[in-house]
Amino acid sequence: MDLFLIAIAGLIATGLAAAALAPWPRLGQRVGQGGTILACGLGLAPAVTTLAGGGRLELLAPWSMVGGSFHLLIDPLAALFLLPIFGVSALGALYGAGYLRHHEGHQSLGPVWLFLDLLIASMAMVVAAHDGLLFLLSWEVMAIAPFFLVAFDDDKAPVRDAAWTYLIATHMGTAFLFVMFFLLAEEGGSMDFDTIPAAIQAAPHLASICFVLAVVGLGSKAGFVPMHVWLPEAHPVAPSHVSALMSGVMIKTGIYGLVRLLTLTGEPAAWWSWLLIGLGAASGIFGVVFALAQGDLKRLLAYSSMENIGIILLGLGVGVGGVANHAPLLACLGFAGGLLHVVNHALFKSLLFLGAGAVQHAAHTLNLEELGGLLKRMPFSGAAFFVGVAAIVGLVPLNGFVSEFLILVSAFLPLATGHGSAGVAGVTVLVTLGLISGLAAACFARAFATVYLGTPRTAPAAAAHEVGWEMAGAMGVLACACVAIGLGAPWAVHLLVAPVAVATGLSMATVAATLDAAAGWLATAILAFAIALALAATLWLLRRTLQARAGVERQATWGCGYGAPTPRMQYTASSFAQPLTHLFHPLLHTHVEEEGVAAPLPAAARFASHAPDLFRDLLFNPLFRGVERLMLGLRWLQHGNIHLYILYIVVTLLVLLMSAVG
Amino acid sequence: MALISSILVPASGLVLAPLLVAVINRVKARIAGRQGPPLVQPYRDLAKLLGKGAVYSTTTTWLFRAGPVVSLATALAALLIVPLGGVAAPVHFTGDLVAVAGLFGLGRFLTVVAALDTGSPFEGMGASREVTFAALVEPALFLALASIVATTRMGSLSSAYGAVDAALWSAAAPTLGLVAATLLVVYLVENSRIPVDDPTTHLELTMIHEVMVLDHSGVDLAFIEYGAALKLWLLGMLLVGLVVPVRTANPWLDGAAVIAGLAGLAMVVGLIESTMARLRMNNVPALIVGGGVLAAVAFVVGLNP
Amino acid sequence: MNHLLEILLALSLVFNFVLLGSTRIGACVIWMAMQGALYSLVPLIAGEEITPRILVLATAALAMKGGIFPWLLIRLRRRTSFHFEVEPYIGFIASLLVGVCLLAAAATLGQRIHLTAGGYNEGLLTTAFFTILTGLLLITTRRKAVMQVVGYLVLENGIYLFGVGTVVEAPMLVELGVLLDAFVAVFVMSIAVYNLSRKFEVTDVDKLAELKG
Repeated sequence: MDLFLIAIAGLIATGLAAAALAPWPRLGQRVGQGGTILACGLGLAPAVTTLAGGGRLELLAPWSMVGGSFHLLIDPLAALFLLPIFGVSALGALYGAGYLRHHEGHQSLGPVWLFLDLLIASMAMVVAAHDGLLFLLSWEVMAIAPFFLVAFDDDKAPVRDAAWTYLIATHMGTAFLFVMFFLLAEEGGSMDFDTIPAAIQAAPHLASICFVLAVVGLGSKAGFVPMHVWLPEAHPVAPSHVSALMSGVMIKTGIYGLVRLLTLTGEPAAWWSWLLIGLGAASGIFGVVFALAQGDLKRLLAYSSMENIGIILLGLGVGVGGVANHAPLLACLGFAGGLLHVVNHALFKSLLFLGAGAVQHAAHTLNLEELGGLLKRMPFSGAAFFVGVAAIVGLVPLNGFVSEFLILVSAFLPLATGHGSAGVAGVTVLVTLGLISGLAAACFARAFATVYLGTPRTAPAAAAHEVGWEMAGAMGVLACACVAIGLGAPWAVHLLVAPVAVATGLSMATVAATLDAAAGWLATAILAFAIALALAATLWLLRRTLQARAGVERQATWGCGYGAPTPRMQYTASSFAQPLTHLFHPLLHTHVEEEGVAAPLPAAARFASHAPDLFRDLLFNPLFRGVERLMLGLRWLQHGNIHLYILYIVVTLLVLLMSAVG
Repeated sequence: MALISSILVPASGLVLAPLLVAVINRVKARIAGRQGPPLVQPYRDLAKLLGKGAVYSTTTTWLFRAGPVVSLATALAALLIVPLGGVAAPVHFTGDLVAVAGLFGLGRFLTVVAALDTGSPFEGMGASREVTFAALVEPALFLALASIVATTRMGSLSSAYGAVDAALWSAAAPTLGLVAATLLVVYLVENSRIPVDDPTTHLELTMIHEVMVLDHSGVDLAFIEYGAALKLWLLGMLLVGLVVPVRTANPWLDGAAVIAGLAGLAMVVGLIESTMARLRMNNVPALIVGGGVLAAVAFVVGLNP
Repeated sequence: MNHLLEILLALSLVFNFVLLGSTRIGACVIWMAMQGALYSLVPLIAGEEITPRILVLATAALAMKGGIFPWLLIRLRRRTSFHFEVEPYIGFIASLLVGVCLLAAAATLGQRIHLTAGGYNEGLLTTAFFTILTGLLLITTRRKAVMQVVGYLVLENGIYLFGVGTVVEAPMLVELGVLLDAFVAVFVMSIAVYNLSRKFEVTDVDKLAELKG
């Protein structure tokens, strides 16, 4: 626990130092980078030992805050979430210094490091907090720090809008959490998490109320549909390593809160599982369909985060159903799949955001229609991005497949063992996950191919260059981690035993037995994949031998007889997605502006398509406009006269005093 | 016995898969009143292609070269997991159906990416159609397999298909029949046959699978053709293994029955291709969703014992 | 016997989806007729023994559902319109997916409600509910008046199956009454549709809204 506290203190100190060194940008960057990596390394140590050893670290210190206690607890569940928080943050810091280098001297980088370090420290505190007030306090810091990071390019109007959207969304979520914690504190007498089980026992009706409040409050952070609207606004405009942290790691604190609450509320009701599965299916399908229609790489990745949160929810939903129906097999596999996907998504989504940053760095745009052919110009970044794409699509033998395998098997198994309602839930999960993974394959084949394959569509893309060692190194480590979890799946599953035992409330022996079986299946599967890879290598060599005899030529791409192809003839990102966006038009309402080709010898034609967010346009905008109209009626209160304002305060105080006395 | 069968299942596919292509072509030729190529023609084609040189586009990268190799390797690996009707495959474990889907997914993704690597508008078009239909087929395939798992109460492909015998058919004929219909739709879509795609068309604009491999030549084309034949065989085993419930304890007899069934399936495909026209691209999703709906009906029918 | 019934019911479930997915009015009429013919056979294979009463009921139903109704409708379609497309308000894929949801709802209903004293299975109730719901879906989401008649008849098929499944013994008269009702209804609607098409040269039910003053 000491190491954890030192890491937190170190992060804050680093942030302050980097901010103080703002006049000397190069030195400030070095201090920020080095200090953050060091502190994160220190923080990783207790997480790894707790996860591997299965113990728990606890600290209960006196705190002057009324109603709260400084209670920290790192058990295997918290440790599992700390792993990506510290690990990905360290890599983000390594990458960030390189990414921000061209801003040195133009823009003050001190605040970026300060708020980045505050974000990392507060995420770690959220996960370790074992007291409601401490949790909310860390949650608030974690909510506000990214606001300043999102607003990094605050001279642009869309960036300011995005930052405000983010701030409003996150605070609406926090309001629900406040209500939840105060309800619990009223019943239990304290904000400490340890009093929650007793409070729920005393008032069983609170369990479902708290669950729903938590789903709304935490879901607005995690990006459940329809509370996802801030993701596609805020993630694209932040600097790429910050996007990676927000999208890969920060939104997972919402999942953490949900799982932590489930360990405290006792036995879940069966409908909780259905709620999670329903939300997961909706988030997953909406997320991937919206992602498919995006033309901006980072916006696409933000929507895909929503999709992956959906996959995590499907796993948790099956797990909760297993706990509710006393089916340990389903409980273990569902939670294992969901929790592993949390870690996996942190790895490959960060990798992809860092990769998007590399693209922006090299070609100065993220518009898919202006890129192309980068793989030849950036072979390393391209290969790393490909690993990320393959992992997020769930291709064998990478880590995305492992977590999806666990969730799919947990959906298939109740059919084989004959649980009635679990079987229906299982089929729902199977169908949605099948559709989601198929659409994700389409989405990321499109994203990767239009950026990295073919020929460059514009001059800046043609002039792209490989990134520096810091950015490349961070991406390389993440790519290796994706491969390692994929090939080492049986060991990764063993590491999940302790966190799953905490999450399900089952004994370590039960969980270990189930997950051992799953590890065995995965080991056989990995063996088959290894055979496939070996076969591929053999075939590659065979082809080389055969071709050595017959000879190889290089020519232009076959254009079906057309001799003068140009880069503009390539299939574009929008045309690639067209069959699917057409099919899902009822969800997308793609907006098309077209001046088509008319008459012989046509003049210049134009085509633009734009996929607005259905929920933003049809749910939140009317809602906020209604609130605005309501508030306009109160405009007369506002005179701009300071004396009047003081009068308001006095009157309010008087009324409050009267009501308190009377 | 286990050793024999563990060799029999993949070996029969390795040797006989191209024959399915030959049977389909022969049936189509006969119905059109032609003699048709001899049954060994696909083998001859493969041998000839293996000896040829190659032309690579200057646009392409290592991914283009990885495509054919990986798609063939995944099909070969899947051959180790899919059972030949009642004859268990050499590799089987709970959840192996997910692993098979994963192998197919990897092969398809690499094929798509290799096609896009050329920067050709035609291949982009084919790739776009391929991913669209694949995304819709996956839920249908999972639903069909889920119904099989629910009917047989077995968690792996080999044990589930081992349990599909005549008694099960007489007990759950509606469910299994509907699943078989879904699998036939999946079979036609995944193998790019009429009414989804016409493998013999000469207009690039109307193709799906063939247009994605336009730039591959020589050894690469041989790998792709052989991989396609293997896919025809693998998905055929999933369908025929269900429809031909011959489950004696003798692996030779069971295997022979399924192989005969595969030849029958090839004839059915030839018949479909001779009598039906390709659907309009816009109508293909309705066909696939309809296939998935059949599996959903199968599942609901299976729920009411 | 019971296996035959199960296959028959599964087949009719598929027919419902075919009805939802068909783009041609003529095809819809034929599928509807085949479904009706299947249902009229249900009393023959579901009961333990075949009494003359059941035989009469089945024959009458077969003649009406498999013969007269489709003949009337096909004649009507020939006389009214050159357009053979169904023209739905919601797409065919959406119809199929809504159909799956309705099937799930019907299955839940079929398992919850225990009306049958006899040995009929839940599958029969599920199928009946689903057929009724399909009929309602067709009536509400199809633009052409002929398709609304088809939907109405599919609905009637479902009610018939429900009646056969729940109270097969008693009400031959009731059943025949329903059939007669349906016959009159189809007759009246045919005339209405015919006159509608002569007057307005369309059979879109949207146009009926324009009659409102």
